[in-house]
Amino acid sequence: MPSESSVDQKGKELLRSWLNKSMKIQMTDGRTLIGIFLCTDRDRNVILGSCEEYLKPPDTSEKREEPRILGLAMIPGHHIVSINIDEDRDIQQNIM
Amino acid sequence: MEIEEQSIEEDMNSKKLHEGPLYNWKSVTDEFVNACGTLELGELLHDSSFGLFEAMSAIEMMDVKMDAGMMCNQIKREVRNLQQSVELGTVKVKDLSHEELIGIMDASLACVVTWLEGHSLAQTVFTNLYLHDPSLIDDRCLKAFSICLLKIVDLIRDRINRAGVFEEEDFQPLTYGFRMACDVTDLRAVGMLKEVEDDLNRSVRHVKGLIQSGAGTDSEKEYERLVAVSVRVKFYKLFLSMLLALCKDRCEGVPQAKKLIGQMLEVIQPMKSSITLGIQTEEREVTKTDYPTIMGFEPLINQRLLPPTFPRYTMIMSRDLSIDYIDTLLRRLDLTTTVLDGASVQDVFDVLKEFSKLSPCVLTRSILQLTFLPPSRRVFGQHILTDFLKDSVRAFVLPPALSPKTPLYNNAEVKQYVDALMTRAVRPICSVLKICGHNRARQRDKWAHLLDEMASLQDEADKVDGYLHQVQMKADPNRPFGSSFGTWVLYYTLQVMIGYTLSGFELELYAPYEYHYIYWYLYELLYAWLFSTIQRADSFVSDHEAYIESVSNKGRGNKKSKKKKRSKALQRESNIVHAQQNMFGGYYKAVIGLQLANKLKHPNFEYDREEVRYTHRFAPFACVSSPPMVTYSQFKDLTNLSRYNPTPSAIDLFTTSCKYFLQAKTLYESIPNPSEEIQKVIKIAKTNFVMMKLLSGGHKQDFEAPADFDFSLHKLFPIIKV
Repeated sequence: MPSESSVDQKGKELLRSWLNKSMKIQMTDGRTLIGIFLCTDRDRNVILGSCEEYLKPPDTSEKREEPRILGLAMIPGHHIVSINIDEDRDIQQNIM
Repeated sequence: MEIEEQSIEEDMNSKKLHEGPLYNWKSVTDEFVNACGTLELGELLHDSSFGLFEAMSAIEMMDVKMDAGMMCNQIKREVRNLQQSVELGTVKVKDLSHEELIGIMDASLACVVTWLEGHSLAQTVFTNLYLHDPSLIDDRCLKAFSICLLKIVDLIRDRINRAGVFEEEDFQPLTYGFRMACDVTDLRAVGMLKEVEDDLNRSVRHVKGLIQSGAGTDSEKEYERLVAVSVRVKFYKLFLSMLLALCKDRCEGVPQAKKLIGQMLEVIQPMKSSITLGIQTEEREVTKTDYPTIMGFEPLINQRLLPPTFPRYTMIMSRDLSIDYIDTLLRRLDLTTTVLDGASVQDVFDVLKEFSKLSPCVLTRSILQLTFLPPSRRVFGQHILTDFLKDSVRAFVLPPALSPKTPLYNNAEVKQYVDALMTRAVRPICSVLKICGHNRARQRDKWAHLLDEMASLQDEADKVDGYLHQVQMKADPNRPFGSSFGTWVLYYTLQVMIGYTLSGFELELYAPYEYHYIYWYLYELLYAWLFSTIQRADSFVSDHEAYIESVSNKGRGNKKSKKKKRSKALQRESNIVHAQQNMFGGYYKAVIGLQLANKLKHPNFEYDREEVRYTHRFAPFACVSSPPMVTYSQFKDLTNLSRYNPTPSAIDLFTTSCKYFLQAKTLYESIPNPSEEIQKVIKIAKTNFVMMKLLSGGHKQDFEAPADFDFSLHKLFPIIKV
């Protein structure tokens, strides 16, 4: 039991460390959403703030498409294909 | 490390490619899923600044109702803009056939009409790709048409915005940054259409000559199509010129607009009969968001301009119906020009009230408002508002303070008081007139809201009357100063209260078991007061006129004809008001009779209290001091049947009701040149009279089916059916 709860703690710590960071979510219908990670729950429903919608993943397409502003959006867990988090650049440079 | 280096390199590359925030993405899908698994059921992981409340307002992605973007991906075909379509050759910009031109023009009109019905510009007018950039069009006719349509849309938008009598259900003012052909002057746009029209007419004549010289059926068909195109070009030219004429700030364009409306109505029929000549939509699957269109139209082109949650299903009106709509619109616009004949607030109020009964569209309502009060804030673009109000007061009550030849008129202090009152009255009176311009459903709340302001204006008017009375008594103790200004304001206060109460019938708010107190209030209070107010105003005028005549030389001045005209209009109004009072009296007695005869269902809810309903219905009247609010207990006291001796039976009440309906009928019939509405009401009064006669004779006495109130003939006056 205690070991489990420490795993739990670690998971929550990790999620907590991602709060208020930029997040990129790909959905089952191919759209990509980029916004600020605000909230999640056990079914990994995610709420993104200041969310922008891209029809194609923004890095792959040659021409940058104009995103559509959604604002506050909730993405149901079962529609999430992949999640990316914006890593802090400073820390990374330190690693390098 | 390698991956990271790569990603940084990518970052650098992307930096060169496009501006905007740079991210350093790291895939965390699995960690995230695992970490989420550690949360409890129902546990939310969030920052202290973000809670469940904020979470509730998020839109849900992939939800059919909330997620507009979902639709774009469900459509299999590619959505292309004008440039792309032209490059691919799917949309023609030159050498369009006449069928294509007719189809495009008609489909565009259908879009405009749908827009006017409250849909978004992006989902209606701007599904027409040509309008996105008319400069790409080579075809002269189509180019002129596109520019002209953009101008029309812009003018309509401007009129509606300026009048400010729309609600979100009436009109979507957003333009999404579309350019409205500002680079072409209005004059040039009309000129372009004129040139195209002339060319077309030349071709028409040419083909006609060919037919006469015995050419085949092909020429006849071509002739038909040419005429159809030229009629349409003419229509849009007239439409634009008409709107431009109406936009003139001093209303000097109204007579010209009236003429143009007449010309437009002439081309409506030829347009309607030639709709079938245009290209029709191709067969394509109809879904909730996508529908088949003709060349140049793309329903989904603006999908991404819409806010995240938006009603995505916009049904474009059919071409036939949209022509009918324009026909009605033009006839109503023609009606709006009559407001210019109004000489006083009273006249304008009557025109606006009658116009509003037609439930007109937002454009006609706005234009009517702007004809009365253009942005210059001068009545009809010419008269100063306070002067107009003074004229109105003079016409209605003729107060000595506003009438030359009296000592009060030249008193500087009096003038100051009166001027201050008129300035003060501008806002509330303009509000009364403006509310008539809103859609019918919204008027009720606005009437209720206005009563506060009317009550304080009443206060001021009474004070001025009091002061003038003192001045008058000093000058001439034999002639008291009546409450002229107070009477004038009271008239509008009562109109507002009646407007509020009656709108409840039209909006179907009242249940039949509420009718008795509503009818009572209308009959015993509001209409009784209104009737006596009109009578009093009339007596003020005739008193004063008699006084002036006695002061000035007798026998001179043939003002009699003028006076007669005035009293005719007044007589008509006072007859109508009196008739209406009798109608409501008849309904009131009938409802009480039906209650006694057990022919009216009464609800049997738990915790039911009539007092609560009564108080709620008349709550807005609480702020008004004259007429004073009748509280529920007062109402109960006043209407208690045991006050009468002997207590009336149902039969007695039906008999009284019968008399009221008869009286109403007689009054209505005395009105010369009755309008269609009055004729209808006469019919209703007659039917109700017969019904009450039958009931008072004991008809269906044992029959306990509830009575029915049938509003199908008139929105306010039902036919009682037992």
